[in-house]
Amino acid sequence: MQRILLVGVEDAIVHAVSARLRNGTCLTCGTTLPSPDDWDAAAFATPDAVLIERCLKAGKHVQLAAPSCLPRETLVSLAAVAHQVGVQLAVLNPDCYLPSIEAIWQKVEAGSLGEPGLVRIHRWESCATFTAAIDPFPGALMRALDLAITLMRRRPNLVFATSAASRAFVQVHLGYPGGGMALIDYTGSLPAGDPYQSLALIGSAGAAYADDHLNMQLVYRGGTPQALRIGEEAKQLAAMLQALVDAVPAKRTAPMADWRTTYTVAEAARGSIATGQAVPVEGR
Amino acid sequence: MASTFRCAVLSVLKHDYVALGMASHPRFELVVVADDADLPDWAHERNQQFAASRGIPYVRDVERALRDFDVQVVIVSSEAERHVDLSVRAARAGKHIVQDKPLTTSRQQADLLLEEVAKARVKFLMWNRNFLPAVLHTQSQVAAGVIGRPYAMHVDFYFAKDAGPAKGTRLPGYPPLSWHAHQIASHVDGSDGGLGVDPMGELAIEGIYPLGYVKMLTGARVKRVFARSMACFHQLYADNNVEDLASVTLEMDGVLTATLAIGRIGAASHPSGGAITMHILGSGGALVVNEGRPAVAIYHRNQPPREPRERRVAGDNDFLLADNFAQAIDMDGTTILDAAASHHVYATIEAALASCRTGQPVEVR
Repeated sequence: MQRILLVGVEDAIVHAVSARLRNGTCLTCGTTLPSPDDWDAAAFATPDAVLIERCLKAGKHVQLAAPSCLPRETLVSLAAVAHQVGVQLAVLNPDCYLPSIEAIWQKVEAGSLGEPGLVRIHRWESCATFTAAIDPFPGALMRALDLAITLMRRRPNLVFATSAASRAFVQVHLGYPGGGMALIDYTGSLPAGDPYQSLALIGSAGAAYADDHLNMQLVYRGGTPQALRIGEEAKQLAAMLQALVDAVPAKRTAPMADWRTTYTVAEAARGSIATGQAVPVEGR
Repeated sequence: MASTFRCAVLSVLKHDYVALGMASHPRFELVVVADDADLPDWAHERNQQFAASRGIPYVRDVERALRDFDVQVVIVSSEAERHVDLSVRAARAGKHIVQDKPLTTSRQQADLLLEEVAKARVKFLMWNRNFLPAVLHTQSQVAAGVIGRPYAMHVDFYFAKDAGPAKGTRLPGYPPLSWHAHQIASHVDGSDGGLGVDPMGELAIEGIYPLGYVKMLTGARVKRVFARSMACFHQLYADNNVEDLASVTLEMDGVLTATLAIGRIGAASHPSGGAITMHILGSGGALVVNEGRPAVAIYHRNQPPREPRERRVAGDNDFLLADNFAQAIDMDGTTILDAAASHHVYATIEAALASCRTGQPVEVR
């Protein structure tokens, strides 16, 4: 039975997730780590670089699935610590563990949709403020970039991006060798309330559509009906943790986002915003 | 009582839906079908069949039709390469013009059309989809300020239709597929939007529709574009070096950004003919729009495989376009997609195709 230390997750969620794991259980901690004898691996929902490093140096595998991202240099440094100690630092994109995305990925891996030709992602949220040319991209945008790269199954070679700093808005357009393209638009300027996300993957033999628009229920309380979103996040954390639980005893690397490519593409996008030109990704 | 406009249908080689759409309005009467004499037999046959179905004559002489049938309006639905030639001849004869898309296949022709329509002071309407219920509803929401001031608009325009065999299926030693032959053959199911000798990709053929939405909902002109394209689905497009899938980022007036993803993605890729959506971000909110609504879903045993399970209902686009055209003539006003706007759409697509080749953003000129 693998004992997973969950950092940055509410107790109620820990309990619910624990009940879903096969051969695993969860425990929580505050800012102080429990004795290393009491847990086998750690999963972080918040990007606490100091605690992560302590876990790694304690000889424990660590899974990071943060809502916001650590700077690239910090991730590289932590990866070096993990390598030195001989443990894993697995950086996961939580979006890949949404049931809809898992279903799409299964079809992509099976070749049912053919060669991916286009990925289109809309990712909208509220209360994010940043200046694209200066600040790191928000976590939701980084995850959307990573998801597009993952689903296209190869590295882009060209990036064109625009932004409107006054609106916390970024538009990223990726080009791939031999054709293939991706469009990712992000805004942090939605009015306060639920976020919105939508994904379309167009392949040479089929297509997949995962859109919040399809997941709305209607409420009539007089006047214009409201649309209420049914989220699919309930099983997301359990799916990520199960991947860690399964990987640790088998001594294999847990599925990991190719964050180096994602950071490279994000840097190229910032370069494109600054110059107004398309920027090559290859070799960066 | 408002007058009736007598219409000459100049060729239905590509489609008859524009002529039929105009005829759905009581103020437009189809009185003659005409085309040039030096066309192949299949072309004359197609024109003759349409004329017979309407009980009107077919004349193998465009100028005679314009002269002798007392027409005020022409409706042009030839191959794309002849669109401007027929429209310009009509303009010079003082006739108002309703033309099928795309505008043309050459910049020189696009410039000529703009010049001749202005010189002749006739009305021009590029057939479009701007009066579909969902588009009109979106326009009313934007105009009412429901989402504040728009700053970004995204259009997905996927037709889930096949265009011959799948890419990669041509056996070694077999010749490339003929664009022209395929387009002629696909007239049966109306998939001949690219009819002509010169191959055209989906951005060139269909781009007018989503770019028409962008113009209608933002009122902004496009300044610069960055685009990517590929032949992803069909051997026909791969053999003829044109795109069946494209994506475009558009930098527009007023710090507005738009994107377009467009393709003929294959019949297997959507259960009801395609997914067309609009996403609009504004200073006070956002809109997510399914352009295919309102719709009804019907399923039954032995249903033909290609019959859409969901179909659009309550659409009035044809009548409203014809009405818009009639009002433009009556009031000496502009149409919803006139020659200048159509020229700008052409220029935007031209720049996008250039960007696909260069890998850099291109100014729209």
